[in-house]
Amino acid sequence: MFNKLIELYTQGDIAQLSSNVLHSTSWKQHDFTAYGNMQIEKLWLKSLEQYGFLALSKKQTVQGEAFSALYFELADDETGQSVSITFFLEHNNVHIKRLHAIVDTVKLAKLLNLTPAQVIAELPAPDPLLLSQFDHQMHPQSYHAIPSDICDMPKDINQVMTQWWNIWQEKHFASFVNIYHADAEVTISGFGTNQGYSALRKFHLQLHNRMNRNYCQLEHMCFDEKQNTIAVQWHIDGDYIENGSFNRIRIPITSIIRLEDNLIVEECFQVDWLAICKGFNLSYPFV
Amino acid sequence: MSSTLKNTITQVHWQPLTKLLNPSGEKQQNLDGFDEEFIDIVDYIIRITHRIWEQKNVGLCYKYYSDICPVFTLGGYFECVEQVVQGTLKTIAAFPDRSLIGENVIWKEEDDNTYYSSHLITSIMTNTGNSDFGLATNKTGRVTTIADCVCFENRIIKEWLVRDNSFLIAQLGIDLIDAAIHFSKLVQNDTFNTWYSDEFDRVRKKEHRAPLGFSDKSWTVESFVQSWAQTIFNQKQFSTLTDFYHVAAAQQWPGGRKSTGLAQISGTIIQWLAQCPDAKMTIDHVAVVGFDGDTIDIALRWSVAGTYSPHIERLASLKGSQFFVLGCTHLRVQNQKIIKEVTVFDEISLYANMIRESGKSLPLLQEGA
Repeated sequence: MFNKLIELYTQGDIAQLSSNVLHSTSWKQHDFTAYGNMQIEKLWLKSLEQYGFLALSKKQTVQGEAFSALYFELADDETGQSVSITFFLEHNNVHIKRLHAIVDTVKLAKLLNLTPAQVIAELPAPDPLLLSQFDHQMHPQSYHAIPSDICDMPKDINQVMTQWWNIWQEKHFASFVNIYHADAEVTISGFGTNQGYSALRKFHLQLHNRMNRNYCQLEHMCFDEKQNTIAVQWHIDGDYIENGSFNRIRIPITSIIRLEDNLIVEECFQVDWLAICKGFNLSYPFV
Repeated sequence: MSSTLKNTITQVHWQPLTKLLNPSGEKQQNLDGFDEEFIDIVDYIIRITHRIWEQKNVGLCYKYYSDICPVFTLGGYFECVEQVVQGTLKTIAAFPDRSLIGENVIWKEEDDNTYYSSHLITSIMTNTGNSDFGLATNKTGRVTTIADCVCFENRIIKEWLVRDNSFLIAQLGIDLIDAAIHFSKLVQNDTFNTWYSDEFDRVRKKEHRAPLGFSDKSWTVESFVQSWAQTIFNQKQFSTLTDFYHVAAAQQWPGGRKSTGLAQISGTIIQWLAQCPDAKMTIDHVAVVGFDGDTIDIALRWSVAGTYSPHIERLASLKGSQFFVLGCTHLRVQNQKIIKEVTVFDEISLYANMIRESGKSLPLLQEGA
């Protein structure tokens, strides 16, 4: 299935992937959920127009049982620009039921030599989202999902992922040093790739300081034992502060992580920043 | 319970449409009086829905609905097949490319030889014609519907229909209160008015203080859903959400409310109930089928009644109105905890009914509201 997804973009092979799509398959991209062949194919055709038939330059897979994930980059050899996409999918090894694709639209703008505003104008209207206010605090005896609630992993991997989650949910910044390799390759959508975790830590602080009352929520995870890779589908809710006003927003994220010797050696923090700007009427840059 | 969890009945979740429309298996249920072609009640519902809506054979309603077929919605009451045909035709004219994607059918074989089906549908449709929502918007939208039907001898003889209209109009660019004001001008028949009033009174009489719990050993679907309604909606004990929901449960509610996990689910329910703080809920029908090894699917039809306490300024004058909701919920439950919930009701009709009952004339946005 991973190859079919890649070949959709590198070769325009719509027919091959269509055989894995059900009448009831949903394909979420740019925070818009497409159902049925007509809507899904329309998304594919737009993607092919924007970044189809480029060369595959990087790939990471996470093969789970009910859920799997794929990250890849497509590069334009002439300009040196590239775009990255993550796919988090629910499947039964034959058909895809639900798929969430996250495109790094900031990179896409550079690839297309367009401004963020021009790319935003091209994106589909995101699904209406009515975010209810809730108590975001981690009260004693309140229950909040942790990795072991949603994914079976070996004990040592679970310990790393629990610390990783605590960095985001409970702001345990001191844990960075425990779970990241000093030379870890960390990619953040819109912020590029860096060696080590310091850029991620800085980004984390910037993000949280732009959002009051923020709350991190796990959705799904999958673990690939053979490759020691993990994919996490999660989101952050918060009051985004812009020009003194507050706007309740949600940031969907897919994190793709590779471990070696119980240390994170590679991580991709994938967010579609421009879809978020469009959905919540925010200006770019986000942080 | 064992008969309802029979796993040889058609399950929609992973089936390609071609296979659903051409079932190759043997007949799995008696289906007395049904056409021989149908192998089970799920097959019947999926194929007749496809024929009527996607193949646009509107006239097949005459074949698959009884002449007298009460259809209850929060937006109106239809009594006979002629009204079903006319309503279907009007909808197809306003949304000509409407597709009905069957997501799930949860069913129950009743004691009176009828079958009860609860059909969860996602529709994609483009609003190219004028409709009850107003003038054509030429925009494409998605909407979730749950159709609960009583089926007997090849015909639907009674139906409760709920649609997430507030989510649809958000995509079409129509304001929720404007749509409710438009809907409020539709004249309802006497049967609807009597049903609405009787249902409100029935639900208000619900004894809501009695504890309705369950233990791991005494867990049954019936005790679970009755306790869910009583503890969360009637008694507002939100810390008990952990007894009912998995910590990463996904919840979809009308109007684009999407929550994951206990904190967000709690917020959604609290915010919604706050507009009707004395709300009482009754569970009016329960059906359950197996999904996979340790997972079951539950379909609920329910009602909520209480006193409106407006949270929307434009509706402030409706304070104290009778607040009544007909709703349906599909729950996926794994190891006795909800992992996925889809709840559907029509928010436009909810507000429209209160506007109509009040006799007040509320201004539209373009009129300076």
